[in-house]
Amino acid sequence: MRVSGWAVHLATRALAESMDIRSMIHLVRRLIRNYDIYERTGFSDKMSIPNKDAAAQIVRDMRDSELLLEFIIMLIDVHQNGMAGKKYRIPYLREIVNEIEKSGLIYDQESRLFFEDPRVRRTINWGVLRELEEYIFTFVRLDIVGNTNLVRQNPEEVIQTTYSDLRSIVQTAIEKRNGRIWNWEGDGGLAAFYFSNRSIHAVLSAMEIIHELYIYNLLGCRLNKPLRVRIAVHSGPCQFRHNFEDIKSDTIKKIMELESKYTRPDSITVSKSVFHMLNQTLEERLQPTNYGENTTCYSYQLKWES
Amino acid sequence: MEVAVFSDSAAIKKCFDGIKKSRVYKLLFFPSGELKKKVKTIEKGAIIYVDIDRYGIPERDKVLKYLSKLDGYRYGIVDGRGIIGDIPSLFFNGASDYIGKEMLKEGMTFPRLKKAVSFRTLESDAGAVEAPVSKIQNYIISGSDWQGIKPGKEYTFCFMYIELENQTALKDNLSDSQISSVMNSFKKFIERSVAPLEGRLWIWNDFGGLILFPFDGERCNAILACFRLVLSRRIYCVEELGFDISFNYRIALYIGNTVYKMKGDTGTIVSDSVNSIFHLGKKYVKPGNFYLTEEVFRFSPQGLKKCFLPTGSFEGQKIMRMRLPM
Repeated sequence: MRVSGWAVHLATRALAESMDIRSMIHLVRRLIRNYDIYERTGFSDKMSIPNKDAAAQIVRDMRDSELLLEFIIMLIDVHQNGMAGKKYRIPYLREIVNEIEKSGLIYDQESRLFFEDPRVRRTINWGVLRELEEYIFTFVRLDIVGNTNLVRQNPEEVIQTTYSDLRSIVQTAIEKRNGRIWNWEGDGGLAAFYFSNRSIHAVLSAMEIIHELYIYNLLGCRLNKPLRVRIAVHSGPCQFRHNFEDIKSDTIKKIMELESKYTRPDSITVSKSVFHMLNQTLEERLQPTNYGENTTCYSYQLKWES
Repeated sequence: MEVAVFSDSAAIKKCFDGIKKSRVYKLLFFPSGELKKKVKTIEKGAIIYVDIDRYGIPERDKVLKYLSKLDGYRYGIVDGRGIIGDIPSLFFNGASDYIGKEMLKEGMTFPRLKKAVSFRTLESDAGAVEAPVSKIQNYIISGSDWQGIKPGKEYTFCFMYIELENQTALKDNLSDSQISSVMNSFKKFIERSVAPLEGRLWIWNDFGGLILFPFDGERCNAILACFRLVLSRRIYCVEELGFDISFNYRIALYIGNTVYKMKGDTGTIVSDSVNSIFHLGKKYVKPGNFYLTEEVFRFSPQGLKKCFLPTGSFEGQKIMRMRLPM
């Protein structure tokens, strides 16, 4: 993600005006362990480097290593929480964040991360995740019940339209909560959530899909029977890859298993790891289900008064 | 309702431009030669228009015979070159509409299509929206949007009453500023929910108020909006209201008349309908429920009707309530 020249300039001034060289080096070594300011600037280690020069070199190196966003996040953290027991006042942070937001990123205070503004673009890594890095995600896995029979029993055009409608329902529910659809095979797929409250957003998305599908079956479904899905929600580590086929993840294997083996039609199965990240209002809506010694899950189904 | 047109002619497609943006009719175009193949994909009760020009004489008679025996659909004939000699026989054999040369130039309109649809009743129309038995003798149609509505004039609207429940519990558990924050979020959330369907917040009190929807005599968009509000209440509470407390609200829908005045200028409104909806909402609707009058119910989308149960009467009208999700 390209950061504007003005943001680079402001970051340099912010660094130069807020800390001494020693603090700067302490900070930058959180990202580049063996960072040597003398080697980078060409100054002898017997000379003192002017603050401005050191700051300019550090910010340039951060930019060239594509670590500038992470560095700015650290500056925000230092401004709020201090560093090594000392308080720092970092100037121009609001202007720096505003400048970065102009390039299509939003700063999320809670997760302390930048991510792409969904009104500008939607990429599967939110514009910030790196290939081969491992992150903690919450996944939503959805599958159409009885797909093979539906395809056999309904005209192709009806199937295409219906499955396209389902895709729209899923996409709306997922993307409005800043999730991303990583894989879609026509009869189901996988979506990922990464930022703050990812598990809450994932469960709410799944609930919305169930509710909207209920309305769709009442009002618009042209199949010979209602369209039904199974949905599972699970959280865990996963190495990010741009190409979904290259991802090898136990978390994804687990969610596929949860969906296919433990989820009834028209319901959501939520794993224990996700359940414990929900708030009370959502927890109250989920029913615990034991599937043997090591598998406790929680399920949600739309039920109506009789 | 679907309107399916079987034609390869650009002129015929253009003829239907007038109803392209209709929210009531869904326009579908199919190639001329695929009538028998595609008709299965069209919903029952639809009206099918067939361009008769593309068929030679023996084929034309077969197509007309096929259409006259087609069960569950209305049909109209598009005859741009005026080749049908005996037009009345089309209607004797079940047609609902005939578009000749002149009509083709003028173009299809919403009122014309409505007449064609209501020309013939099908079996599948049973249980569909019946002509409403209205408390109001004549609707003063306000339209499908706000364009023609002028302050100071009387119109028929669909009124939506909504009020947050548990007000005492909220006051006991939250500070004044927290309550203010919740109510502000609630109000903005309701505005966002109704705005796409032309709903407008009109009168707002501490914990709820009245939303107006323009009424065109054909449908009531508010029903589906309110259905969603109840179905997904917990989702909205978590996402929109910002506190980990289970909120609840009651909703009522009512069709009635009022002189329209701009928001903020409603203090002097004298309207039986406004009194009725407030009375229905505040005194009659049970907590957490969504009620609508039988008159509103008649405009409900067909598929949604089974989600409502009769629950008594109010001011001489039967009342229906939405079955609640558990």
